[in-house]
Amino acid sequence: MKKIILSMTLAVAVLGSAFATPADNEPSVIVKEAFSKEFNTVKNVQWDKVAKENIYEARFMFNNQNLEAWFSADGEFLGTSRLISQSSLPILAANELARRYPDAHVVSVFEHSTPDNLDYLITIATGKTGLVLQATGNGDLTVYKRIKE
Amino acid sequence: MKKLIAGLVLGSVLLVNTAFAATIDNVNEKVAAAFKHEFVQAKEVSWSKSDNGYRAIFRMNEDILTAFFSEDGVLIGVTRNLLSTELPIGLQTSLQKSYDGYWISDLFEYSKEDASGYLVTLENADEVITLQATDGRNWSVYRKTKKQ
Repeated sequence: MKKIILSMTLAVAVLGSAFATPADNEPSVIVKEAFSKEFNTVKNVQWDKVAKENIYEARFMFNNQNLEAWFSADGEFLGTSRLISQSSLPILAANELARRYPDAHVVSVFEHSTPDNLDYLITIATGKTGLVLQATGNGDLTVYKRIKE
Repeated sequence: MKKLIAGLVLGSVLLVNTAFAATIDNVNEKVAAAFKHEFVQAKEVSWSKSDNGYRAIFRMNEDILTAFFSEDGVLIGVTRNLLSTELPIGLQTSLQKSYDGYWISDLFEYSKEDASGYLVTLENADEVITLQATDGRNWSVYRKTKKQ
C-alpha cells in the first residue's frame, strides 16, 4: 500500500496537479496539525485534494522556495516536491548525468522527497525526444519515462 | 556499514583538505587520467599537492568543486560548498526544527563512489556543533565543542 502511495506522489510530482479538484480542498484538523509539525514556520498554505486517492496537497513557500507537500487524509506525511536548479543536484548525480548525457538539454529538475527516500526527476531533451530520468544522491541514474515527440 | 564508509570518506576529506601546499602545474598521468574520467565537464582546474595526494579545485556547471586523489589516481572524495536552500528539504526542515537559534557557519556536500552526505557546522553563543547527514532527512552529531 505504501509503495502505491509513493508511486502516486511521484506521479503527481511529474504531472503537476492535474488531478486536483477545486471542491472539498480543505483538509481536516489532523492533516493541518501534521503539516504544522512538519513545517512549523509556514503560515500561508494553499490546499488541494487529489481526487480518488484521498490525499491532500499543500502548496506554500518555505525558505523562499516554492514547495508542494502531500499528506494522507489521516495525517500521514507522504513527501514533498520542489523545482531545483541543475546545479543543486548532488555531485554524484550531476556527474553521472554529465557523463551519460553530455549533449542533453536539461529542461527541469525536481527534488522528490518522502520520509524514507530522496530522489531527483530530471527531464532532458536529446534531439527530437525527451527523457525523464530518476537519480539518487549516490549517482544512480535510470530512465523513469520516455517522452515522445 | 554505510555510515562507516561515509565516516571514512569524511575523515579522509577533512584530513587531506588541511595539508595542501601551493598550486602546481602538473599532476602524474594516473591522477590526470582519473580526473578526466571522473569529471568530464570540469573547467578551470587548479591542482595542489600534499604528502598523501592531490587536490583539484575546479568549476563544473555553475559550481566550484574540490576533489581529492591519491598518488595512484584513486578518487578519495569530492566536496562542494552549499547554500542552506540547496540542502534536501527534509534536512532543511530538520535543522529548522531541532536547531532554531543557531546559525550556519559552514555547509558542504561530500561524496565518494556510492557514498555521499552533508556536513553542516552550526553555532550559537555557547557552542559549535558539526552535524552529518547520510540520507535526505536525518542529522547526527559529528562533533560538538563548547566555546571558550
